[in-house]
Amino acid sequence: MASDAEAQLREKVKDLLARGKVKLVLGYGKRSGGGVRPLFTKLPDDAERLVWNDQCAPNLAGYLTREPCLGIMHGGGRVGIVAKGCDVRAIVGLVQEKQVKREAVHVIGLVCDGIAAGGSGAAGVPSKCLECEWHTPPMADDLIGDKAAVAPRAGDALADDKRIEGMTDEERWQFWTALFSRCIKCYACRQACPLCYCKECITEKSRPQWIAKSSTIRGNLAYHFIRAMHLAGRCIGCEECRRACPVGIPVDLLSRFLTRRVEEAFGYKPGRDPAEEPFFVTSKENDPDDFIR
Amino acid sequence: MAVTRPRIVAFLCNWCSYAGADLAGTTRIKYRADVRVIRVPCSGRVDPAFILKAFETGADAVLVGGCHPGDCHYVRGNLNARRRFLVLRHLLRYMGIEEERFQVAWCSAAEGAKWARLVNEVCEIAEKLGPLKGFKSIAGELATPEKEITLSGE
Amino acid sequence: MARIGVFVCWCGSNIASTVDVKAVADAAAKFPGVAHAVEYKYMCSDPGQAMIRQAIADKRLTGVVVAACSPRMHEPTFRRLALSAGLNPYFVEMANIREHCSWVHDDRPLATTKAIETVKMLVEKVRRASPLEPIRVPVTRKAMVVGGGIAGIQAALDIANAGVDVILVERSPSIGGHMAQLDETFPTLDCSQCILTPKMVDLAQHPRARIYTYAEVEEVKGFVGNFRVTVRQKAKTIDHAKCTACGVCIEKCPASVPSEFDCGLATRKAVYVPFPQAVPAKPVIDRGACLWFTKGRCKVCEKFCPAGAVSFADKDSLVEETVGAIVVATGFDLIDRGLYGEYGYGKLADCIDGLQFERMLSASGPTGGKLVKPTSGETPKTVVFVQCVGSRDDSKGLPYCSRVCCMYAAKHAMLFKHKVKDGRAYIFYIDIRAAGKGYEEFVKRAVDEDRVVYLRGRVSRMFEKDGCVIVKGADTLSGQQVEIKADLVVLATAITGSEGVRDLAGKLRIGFDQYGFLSEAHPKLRPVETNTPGVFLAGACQAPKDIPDTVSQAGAAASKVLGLLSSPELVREPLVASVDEAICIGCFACENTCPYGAVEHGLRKDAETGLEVEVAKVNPGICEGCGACVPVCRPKAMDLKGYSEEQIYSEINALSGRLNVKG
Repeated sequence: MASDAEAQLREKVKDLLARGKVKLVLGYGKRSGGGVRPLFTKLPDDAERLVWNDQCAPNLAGYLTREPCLGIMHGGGRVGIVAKGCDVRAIVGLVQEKQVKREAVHVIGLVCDGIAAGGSGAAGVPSKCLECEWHTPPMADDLIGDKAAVAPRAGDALADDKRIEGMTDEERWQFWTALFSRCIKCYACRQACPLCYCKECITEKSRPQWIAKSSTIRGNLAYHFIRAMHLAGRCIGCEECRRACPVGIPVDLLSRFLTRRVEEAFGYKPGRDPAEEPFFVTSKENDPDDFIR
Repeated sequence: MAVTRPRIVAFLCNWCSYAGADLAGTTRIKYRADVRVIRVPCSGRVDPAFILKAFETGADAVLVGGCHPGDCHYVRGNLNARRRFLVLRHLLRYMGIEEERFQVAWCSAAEGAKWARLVNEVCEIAEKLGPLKGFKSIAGELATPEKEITLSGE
Repeated sequence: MARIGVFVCWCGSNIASTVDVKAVADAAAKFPGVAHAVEYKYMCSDPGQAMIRQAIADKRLTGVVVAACSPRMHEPTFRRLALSAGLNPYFVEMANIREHCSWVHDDRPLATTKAIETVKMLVEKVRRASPLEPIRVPVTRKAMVVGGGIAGIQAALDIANAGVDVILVERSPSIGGHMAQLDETFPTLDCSQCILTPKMVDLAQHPRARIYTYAEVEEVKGFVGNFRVTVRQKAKTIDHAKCTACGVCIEKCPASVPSEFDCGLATRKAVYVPFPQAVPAKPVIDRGACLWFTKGRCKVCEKFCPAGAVSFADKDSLVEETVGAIVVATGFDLIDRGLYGEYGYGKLADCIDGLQFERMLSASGPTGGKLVKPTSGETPKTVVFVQCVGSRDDSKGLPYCSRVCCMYAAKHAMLFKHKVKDGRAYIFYIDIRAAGKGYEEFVKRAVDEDRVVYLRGRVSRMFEKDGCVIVKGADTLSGQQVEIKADLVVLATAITGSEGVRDLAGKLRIGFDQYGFLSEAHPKLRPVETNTPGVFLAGACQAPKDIPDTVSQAGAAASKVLGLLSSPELVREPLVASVDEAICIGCFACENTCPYGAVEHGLRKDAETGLEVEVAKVNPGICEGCGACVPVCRPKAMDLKGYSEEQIYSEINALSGRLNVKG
């Protein structure tokens, strides 16, 4: 990624804010101690503080369902957002589910090669970058970056999946219970997920308590099980949940696995088209049914 | 002597599968006694959380009965559910729970014999796979101790 | 503090011979929340019910579980009992220990264990019940009928005669439908117009009926008992209040187009009355044919009209009507015979379809009732009738039988022979379906008296030669190929749903099949209802049918309407869904999932942000209580009464743990 993309970004945001086309732009800023952190820019001069590099892992779309963006969009204003291809898919999901109006968001798409190894806090390259089809973000109101200069990261995005599929039932159960035994129910995964926008999560429900709240194995398993079902066919694989987990659980594995199965079975891919209906509210007569007696 | 038997929880839709089970009764078809039925208005009412909770509370297999596609009393509840259940089976398999423990069947109000056969088949599957040890081992304080009942006259 | 009564029934020996009912009652007495547990021989009998009623009073019971037969059998019985005893009926549940237990298991200990666990489950469910009141929906005592053919007219008359106001909406300028186009009807050979027009006039003059012609349904809002229908009254361009039906405008109009009523065999003017017996008998102007509207010149009609009734400034108007029930009677269309290349792609002028033949037969038709060869004007001597054109055809037509063609082909052949005594009539058929009253005798008459020749076989092709139509077909009974030189060929083309019906169905939220026929709620048991409460079907729009069946079905639909509108309120079971608006995130997954359109949009001021947000609301007047909306609600703002999240959770939980059975 060239640094003139960063310069173009700063110019563009300065211009958008100066002309009042947007009231706020969600972007990335430098984090003290290294890396990036979200930066909200309101005034044209703030644009100088924006950065764009191969460490810009966070998915800023999650802020669209929170204040101050909510208030701005409700009042008829527009919010700009610096978005990679994976981030745009989250915006598409929010539009499909009526959380955000397309016209209230100004998508500043950045052409992206992928996050560098270590750039998202984990050692390697995020697996989402290894299977990315969205180096040039779709649905961009403004597009910055050179499409032709994209050099995608190489690797097997499905390595973990294959390992798990190769296990026996017993081994898989041991794998997941061992993994979830670390979970401390901090719910950082839920808070970080751009598609987890419910104000009161089912996890908080006590009457009835479908998900045991304590961080016992039972409670952890129930939480991740239901979360996977709620994200099946909606998860866009941005890996924010994995990045956020303080105890290093690759939480995204479950929902991404299910989303792949949804695509195979129903031809539905989340984050593709804002006009599409989410897969779980419709059904077709010829949906697969060989598992049914 | 205590007898341990497989535990099957079945969610049956009021208009088709529950009625089919009633018909098995009216025609006195005998089948295994290991299933417990929870009535719902439509198979579309069945949430994956029910199946999870059933496994957590000791079920070795769960069966959902619905109307044949096109026959749903509520137009298409069974079709919506069909999509969810396919995803749920994948999740169970991925997590290491044999997906055969979760069965979905279309059983109409006229299919009493099919219901009896289904119960027997699912009981056999549960026996072949054995008790669902995984959940039982983590159920902790929720598993109630085994207790005996006394039949009157004994 | 729950005080639940458990009543275990012996059902004579039906339950007691297998299940140890006393053990069940004893076990139930120890369940948390149970204040009373007994067993009795016949719980549903008068003494049994009296016992329950007494217990409710004596023990101040807050809930009842009857362990007996299937709830599908007696749940209403025991709920009514509770209501009469002062207990909210929705605190009553039944544990099925007969159909699901004593009748299907032999092993006494196992069956008893199952019975005990089932009772425990239902006790837990009742502990989480809530007091529900029946939902009352006010009903507008008015009906609407869409479609003015015989089905619509009959339904409207039946409704109006019962004292209920009815509105009929018909999109063409006159009511009458296809029946008005027919000459004589089988099996009686009654003159169609003669039996139809009295009904048309009755309806037009009925004090409780209002007819909109040249009008269509634009939009339907609301729900059963309270439909708000917007009707588009198309601009007639003639003020019917002033028009005296003198006909001068029609005489003077210079513009002509093919006549729809005469199926293209004749023309009509741009200002026209579709047929002489039309109701209303006053003209409208077809703006697509009128020279003023298409080319900006003429206005001769206005010049000559003695009543000043022509108003070119007329515009479409939208009228809103509120009705409690709607009957759809939109009839049918014939398929385009141009689909059949082997029959000339519809381009052989001497090859016509059944409706065109009816127009030719008709004394007030384009030929004055004289049968003529369209190309030459001569009287046809040899006429071939081909049945099943497009029907029963898996390869490129429709798979079903159009039901009326065997009868009308026989009728056509007979009427042809009556008019052309030395004519020869041939009918190519696959089967003869003459199942109605007098139908078989009618077809026999055609063969015996009118000497119609029936050839069992299909027509492979036909083509023009020397001014005639050569028809090549098979006679499978003799095993021979047949070639007939015909003056006229009449094709019995298949019937489909009428044009535009899919749009109307979308507005009414009713289903239709791939052939354009509207979907009934149940093919055998609910043939005139649809899946949308308050919307009914009558006539050929549901499936091909003849006039007797159409009139019967119209009466059936009317009776359903009258039943619905017979009281000022609709009382519905309160087992409906509802939204906790404080939790709802406005994703409307529920709205997309609901097949009835019961989810509406509401506004709520969010407590935290102070913003007005859109949330889902369930209309209890429409909700059918399936609960399909609940699993798709991720935060569980949606719940279903009677099968609530808490209730189902408690049932599953009640089954946890084990009861080990001795023996």
